[in-house]
Amino acid sequence: MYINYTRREITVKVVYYGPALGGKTTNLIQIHDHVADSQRSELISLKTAEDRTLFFDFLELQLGKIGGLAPRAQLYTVPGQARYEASRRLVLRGADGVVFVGDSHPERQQDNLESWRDMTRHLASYGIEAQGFPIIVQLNKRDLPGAVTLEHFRQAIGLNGELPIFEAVALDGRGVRESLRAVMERVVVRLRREISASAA
Amino acid sequence: MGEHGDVSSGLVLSPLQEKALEAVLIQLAAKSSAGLVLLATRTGHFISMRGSQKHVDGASLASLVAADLAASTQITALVDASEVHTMILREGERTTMLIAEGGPALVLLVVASRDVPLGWIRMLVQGASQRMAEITKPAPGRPMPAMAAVMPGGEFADLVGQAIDDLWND
Repeated sequence: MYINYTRREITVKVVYYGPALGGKTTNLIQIHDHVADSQRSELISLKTAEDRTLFFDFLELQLGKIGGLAPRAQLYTVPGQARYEASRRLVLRGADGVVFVGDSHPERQQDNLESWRDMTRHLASYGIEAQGFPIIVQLNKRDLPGAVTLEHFRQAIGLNGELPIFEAVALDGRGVRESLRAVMERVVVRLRREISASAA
Repeated sequence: MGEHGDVSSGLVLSPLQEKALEAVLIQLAAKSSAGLVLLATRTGHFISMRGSQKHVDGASLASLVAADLAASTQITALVDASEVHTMILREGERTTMLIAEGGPALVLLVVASRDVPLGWIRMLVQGASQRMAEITKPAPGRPMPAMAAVMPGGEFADLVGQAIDDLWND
């Protein structure tokens, strides 16, 4: 989070985390394509020659004026492939919220679990408990034949019932806006709570 | 400043601190004849930009500069944990690019012509980095505007959610 008092700007960082080929970059592409040029940056992608995320994707949204403030959201993805663990940790640094993008394919549930554990471990390395931190779970690829049920997914990664799951087909844009909205609301609620606590 | 993303460790600059940082940037840009001087947080938030090179996407550049420094710091840690590198240098045919830490919270990018002596730019960047670290050093009693006054309460989260819906073009 960065607060610029003079310009009354609050900038927050949201990271899209999840297993390889789960749809993190697709989420950002959809957001980029649905938001006017004047209200977003260009989509920056650090990719391999095979078009896979090497370090991160980045997109900034300007949310206009709200209550005299100009909030901005910086959206990042992490590289999902296992060998880029060190890069994932770097991208998570300073995150104010996370969208965890899970894969609905039955054979990807172990990958979902490993990615979830990887994420909570890296958050913990920055002193952040996943419990209470603004995390939204998006279950992507809901149009796959044989897609796992929400309950199956919940059990696969050990989610309790408190965290809502947003169903998505990111390729078609379904569930992308809803996930973004939900994580941003939670980020703002948490920031407000911490600001109040620091003022007390 | 810590590394995690809560309010107590995010970067909050008072107007006085912002003014002081801006003055350092202006001076650095003038003395180095830099085409571009950019200041960002270590987590990639854009703060300010100076120099003759216009029309650069500051937000995107800030994210890349912070990532570059973070990756280099990690490379140093893997190669020699006891070493600390505070500056990255890139030399091109026409320009020199320096990325430097500005204390624990900031990162600085300077792009200058190869005509400007490297030693001079390096000295200016080191001086600017030190001053920036000093400016952003947490100091008890340093007057800060009341944070609660900055961020409206109540329905602010709903309004942010609504703003995202409004951004969306089907």
